[in-house]
Amino acid sequence: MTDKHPAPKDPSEVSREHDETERRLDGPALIIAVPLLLVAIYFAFYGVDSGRSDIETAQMGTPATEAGQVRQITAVTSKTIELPHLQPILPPGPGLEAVEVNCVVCHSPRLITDQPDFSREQWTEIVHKMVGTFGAHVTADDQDLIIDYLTFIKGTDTSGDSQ
Amino acid sequence: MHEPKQSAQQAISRRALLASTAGMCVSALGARLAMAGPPYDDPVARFPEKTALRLLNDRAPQLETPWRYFKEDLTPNEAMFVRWHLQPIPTHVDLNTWTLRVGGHVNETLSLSMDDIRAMPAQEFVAVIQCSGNSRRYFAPRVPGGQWGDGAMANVRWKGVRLSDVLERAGMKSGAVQVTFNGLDTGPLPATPDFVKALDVDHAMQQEILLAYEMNGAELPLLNGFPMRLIVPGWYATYWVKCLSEITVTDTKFDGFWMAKAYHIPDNANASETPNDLAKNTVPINRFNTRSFWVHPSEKTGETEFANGATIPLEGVAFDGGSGIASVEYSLDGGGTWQEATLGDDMGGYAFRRWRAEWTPTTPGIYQLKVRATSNDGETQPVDAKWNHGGYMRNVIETVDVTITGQEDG
Ligand code: HEC
Repeated sequence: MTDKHPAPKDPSEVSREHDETERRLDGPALIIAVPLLLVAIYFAFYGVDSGRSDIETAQMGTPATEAGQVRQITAVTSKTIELPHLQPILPPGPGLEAVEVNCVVCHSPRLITDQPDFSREQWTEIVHKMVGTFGAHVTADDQDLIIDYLTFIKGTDTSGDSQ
Repeated sequence: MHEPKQSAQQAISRRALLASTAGMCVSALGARLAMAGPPYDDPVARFPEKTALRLLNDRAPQLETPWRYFKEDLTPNEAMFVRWHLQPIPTHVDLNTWTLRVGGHVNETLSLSMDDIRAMPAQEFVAVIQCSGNSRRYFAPRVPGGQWGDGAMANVRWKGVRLSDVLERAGMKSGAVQVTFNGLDTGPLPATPDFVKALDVDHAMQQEILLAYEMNGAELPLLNGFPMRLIVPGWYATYWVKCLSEITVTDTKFDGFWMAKAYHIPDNANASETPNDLAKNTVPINRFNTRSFWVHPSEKTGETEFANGATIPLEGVAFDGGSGIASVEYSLDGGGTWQEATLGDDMGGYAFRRWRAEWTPTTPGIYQLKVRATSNDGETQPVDAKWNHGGYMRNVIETVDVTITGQEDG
């Protein structure tokens, strides 16, 4: 029977762990929760990363007049933003490579790690949706590996048998 | 041996867990929450033009509004939730080159600049925007999708031009069936269906449908749809297309993936089904159902513990699909008895209606507080949560557990 590996922590996941800890509401968990809470406060105030916002503001100047009519001028003429990179590290497990090759092109793996636990059947449905509906190119072998991995890290199967 | 993991069936929401937990634990937790702030908002991240928001996904961004912002009548732009479907999302928009194209089954194809649009008569009103999957994380059993708490909503003053004015300018040909809306986002791969939504022509021509270029008196943050977003008051945010660039009138029913397959709900009165008996007939999600929330007290801000004898302000918000809120009632005894709350300013039928009351507890203990709203259409909220596999349209009566302590100092 294989143990499930705890997910490695990226900074933003630290505060999530507190959330999970708090849900269980048992004694030791509350003691652990205190230092975690301090970390959580830190991130609550400062965020896990500050994305740069680069907003070009155009001259708000005097509205141009055209044939005696006041024409409205747009205050902001363009916006450019730079998105922060906050991708989580996927926890180790059988099939991890197949996931890293096939499942991070279109979206962050956070879409996977933020899901609750599902049955093997539900994970199979999700992988089929990625291929059939959204056009992911994944070989049949890799699909099997990926489903194994997802069931391993976030399965509802309590028997511990990930086959 | 590792701890047994929760099965989907066993997975229960935090509030349900609290409700079934012994008083001592709730009390200890309450004290820590009051000290440390809300775990509800974790993890958080900062994105451009936004404050620290709850991070559901980083690419494409899905960010949720921390609960304390609902103490404000209008949700600040930097705190409004963010929800994109497809990577890559637009990161640069230049109004010197951006145009709104209006075409398809029309007499004259238009290409409008922002100056053209701002020269048209402007409309302004407050309307709630709410994600279809708001509160999905509370579904039991859990369902796939963005794991939103209750903060995928906002109350915003929108300014823009009427869609009907633009459509009239283009002149719809007879036989027009639907109007489709496309934004600057495209799919990651050619095979990925582009995010396009559609409204029936008679809905699109209604006066309240807006092409908004301002929210709360400022341009939209790019992550919320700069320079223009479709406003469909009373309908779920999936229709409120961001970074709008293309409006097409069709003479057939539009059958793109995001209308024909995604965002579908069971075709029955309360959009419900069970995991073992999924609905055979589904329809595209549409109008909001009636909801009401606790803003204070709230587990989501850690404000759940009070001293006996002190007067506690009770406060929250309510809204429906546009008829407006007729009444809000609250219960201090787990739904046994109900009292009427006082309604705040009426900001319009599509806006949040704030509700308030006061309570001076005289006996220490744990109390289960509930709130339910009734709309002017006579719709109210269910006692038991409805379930559907998309995790849409949650509107169960909301509960908050409050601890009243013996000492004045709490
Ligand atoms: C071709 C692009 C693409 C690839 C490759 C892809 N996905 Fe997705 N995935 C999507 C889209 C699109 C969504 C829906 C996004 C939304 O609605 O926000 C999605 C959503 C998800 C979700 C959220 C649940 C849901 O049903 O919306 C999970 C989990 C997921 N993907 C897992 C995976 C896994 C595992 C793989 C690897 C097999 C994968 N994805 C590969 C496009 C892709």
